[in-house]
Amino acid sequence: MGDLLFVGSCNGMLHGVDRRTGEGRWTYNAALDGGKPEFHGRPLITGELIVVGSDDRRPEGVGHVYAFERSTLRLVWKYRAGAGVASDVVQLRETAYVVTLSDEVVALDLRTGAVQWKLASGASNDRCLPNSTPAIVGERLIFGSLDGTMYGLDAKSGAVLWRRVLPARVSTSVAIVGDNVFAGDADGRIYRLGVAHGTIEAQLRVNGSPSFKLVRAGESLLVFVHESGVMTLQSVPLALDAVRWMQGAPRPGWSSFAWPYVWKDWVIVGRETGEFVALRLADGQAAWQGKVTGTVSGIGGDETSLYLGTTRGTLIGYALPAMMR
Amino acid sequence: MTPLLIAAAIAWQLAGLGVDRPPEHAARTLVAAEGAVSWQYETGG
Repeated sequence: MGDLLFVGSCNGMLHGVDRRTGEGRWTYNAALDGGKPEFHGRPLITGELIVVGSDDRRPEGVGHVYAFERSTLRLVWKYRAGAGVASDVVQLRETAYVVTLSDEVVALDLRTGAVQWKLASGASNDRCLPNSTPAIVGERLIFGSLDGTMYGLDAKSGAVLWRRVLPARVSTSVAIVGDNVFAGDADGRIYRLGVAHGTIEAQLRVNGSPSFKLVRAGESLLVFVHESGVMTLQSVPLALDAVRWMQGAPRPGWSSFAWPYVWKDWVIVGRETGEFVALRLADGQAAWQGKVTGTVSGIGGDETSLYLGTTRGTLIGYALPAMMR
Repeated sequence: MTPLLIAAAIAWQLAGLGVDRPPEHAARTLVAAEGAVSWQYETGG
């Protein structure tokens, strides 16, 4: 965001860090709002605001959605969201949409934080499984629940336009490409649904349980797949006719803490041992790797640098080699 | 890349060809490059 990196950490702190120097410019301590908050979801950055959810994955947890003014980093509003929000914040015009750990979609007025509508899936989440990040297409919000139901919702009113029951928990974020909705379930399939009625148009079995983000990369989707304790990265075409490639790493595989980060012709993934690897989007072959200390837990970047978070709480600016620029 | 990192990369490659993963799943075409840590910021947690 400009010259400032906006980073949340597992001690409940939000940080604004100068991306050129690594100098800290700003912090916000969400722990002062109660509980033991952490930050896991991607913030929404609008022209005026930064909106991000905190989560506290305990039965008595305290989590919020926060909106900060982008120019001053002043807190504009906060919304108490039960045990919080660990998924990403999405937007349509003046509304932000979040999914709480209790699997409830909440539409919030971006200007005030006031609730416009809510929809609870009814699924229990005693294990604090990651909720599926919803997606906007046209005037609709597409949401996948922990009980395996896909919803097409009217984004303005929250009215249910369609439901489609999948065999298992929706275990990935929702991805939209044109009029197609993509999501994966814990039963090991990626689905393509029509946005109008939620009709299943194609499905593909992957080798394991698709997890966390479905990341668009050209004519493919990238997804972490968990199988027998190993996390692989798989590339599936939008046609869902076959797994294009899968790439693993020594047990336990890639670190699912850090979402696959698409950068030009590569996707960058990290490992618990600190390596981060650039895989070619075309075939998944490793083209380049670097290493930091600690488990890679977050990856971002710009034209010349990567920004890597680790579970040790260190944020690292890493100058890319010339071949990657 | 420093010699230490090159050694780590090689070790990683070798490990990738080990018993945990079938060879076709292992990253095999690593190229040493010259990226470098520019700065570090401690978030405290």
